[in-house]
Amino acid sequence: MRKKAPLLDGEAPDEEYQLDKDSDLQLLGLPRPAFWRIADEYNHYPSCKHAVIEHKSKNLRDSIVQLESTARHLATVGKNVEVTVIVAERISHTEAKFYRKGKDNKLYDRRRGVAVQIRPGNHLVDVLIFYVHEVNKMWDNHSSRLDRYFKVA
Amino acid sequence: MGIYIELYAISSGRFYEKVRDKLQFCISALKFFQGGLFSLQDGEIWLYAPSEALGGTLHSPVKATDPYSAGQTIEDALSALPYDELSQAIVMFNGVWDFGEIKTGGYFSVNYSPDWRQAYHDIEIGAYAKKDFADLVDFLWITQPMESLSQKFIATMRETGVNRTLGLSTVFFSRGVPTDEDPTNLLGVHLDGDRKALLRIFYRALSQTEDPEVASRIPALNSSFFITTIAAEEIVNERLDKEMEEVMIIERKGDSTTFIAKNADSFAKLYDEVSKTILKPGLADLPTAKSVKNWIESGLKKSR
Repeated sequence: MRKKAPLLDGEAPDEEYQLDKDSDLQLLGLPRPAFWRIADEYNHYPSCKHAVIEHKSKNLRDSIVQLESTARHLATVGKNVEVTVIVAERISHTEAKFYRKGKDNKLYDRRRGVAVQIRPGNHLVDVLIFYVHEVNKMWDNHSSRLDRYFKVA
Repeated sequence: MGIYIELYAISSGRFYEKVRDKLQFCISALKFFQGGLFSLQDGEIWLYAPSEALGGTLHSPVKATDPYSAGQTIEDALSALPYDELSQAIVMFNGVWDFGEIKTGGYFSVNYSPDWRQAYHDIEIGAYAKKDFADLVDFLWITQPMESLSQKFIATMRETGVNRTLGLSTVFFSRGVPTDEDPTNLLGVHLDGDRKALLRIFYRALSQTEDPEVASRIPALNSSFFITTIAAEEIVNERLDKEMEEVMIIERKGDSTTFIAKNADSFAKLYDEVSKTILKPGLADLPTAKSVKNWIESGLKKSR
């Protein structure tokens, strides 16, 4: 089953590319199989943000490597990346020694005391982390907001 | 993520000798999978972290598709590094796993940095998540005869340790990073010792739960004494034999044992059963840490 992308700024993505589909890669102009450290999705949000997303992360280090590699490949074909996102069940005790989730949902590197950032081109983008239950809650709130809107309308 | 290897020092060799021997274990693992399931594309030496996003620096990228020559080039590059950089190095051999219809990127890494070693062990073999497969072990357990493959792999790793400064200690086949608090993500484990070593893993996990009946007793208990005592009980061994045989394939070789899950939830089931029928009953009649503390205090008062 396809995983739900997190909402950003309260909005669902209005354009989604699944990076395990050759057709979507072709649409983005990404060669295949030119690189193998590939994330799951590249989405556009109404707030004009382009996000690279990695779902079901079992290992944050691997997910960061996948996001970094994908963002760089997208940048080389002229695609913008404003934010990268990891969706995980939790941060394991072992990896919690390295990373923490900030109140601002940014992923922080405990050893350096800074937010983890990726450089796709000549700018830095944050790595956000959401837990699966948070993404589900976002969608529940979003649906009830839409329900209310349509009732009023 | 998927296969994690821990090594131990057999002899007190020089630091550079140990560096070379650890790399050799990784090359052996790489050769084991190369050609059949894995195709090597390149090798890299990273300093501090294996990614720029994590503050790492790429030191030596090596283009090589043959494990032997990649190993040679990486070994030469490592021996040219000063000690302070070498002790923070992470070697990555990147390539592609081919599981028939599904191909995905993967790596073999050697962690020299103590921080990374603590979390990701001495050698780590992994695959990048794809579709419904979150981990290398997911691919392996679905597409490969794991009973024989894991035995052959472990035999190869043990042979690599012959006449070296390092030997094979533990191999985890795990979904995600193996952690002390959750053995349920294991699909296989090779341990020094017999089933007592597996009991120790389960005990360590149970001791980190918030169950008040457990948490109140563990702090005052010597874990080795507890494990040795319960493992010596015949009733425990009978229960353990029965429960293990249902869910595991067990292979003893010399003084080490390999436990391979028959199903994805085998370790979860076994941990649950062992906790309920062995560990918790073993702890039930023990005094709580608070009682022990009171006894110590009252003993001290009496001696005043």
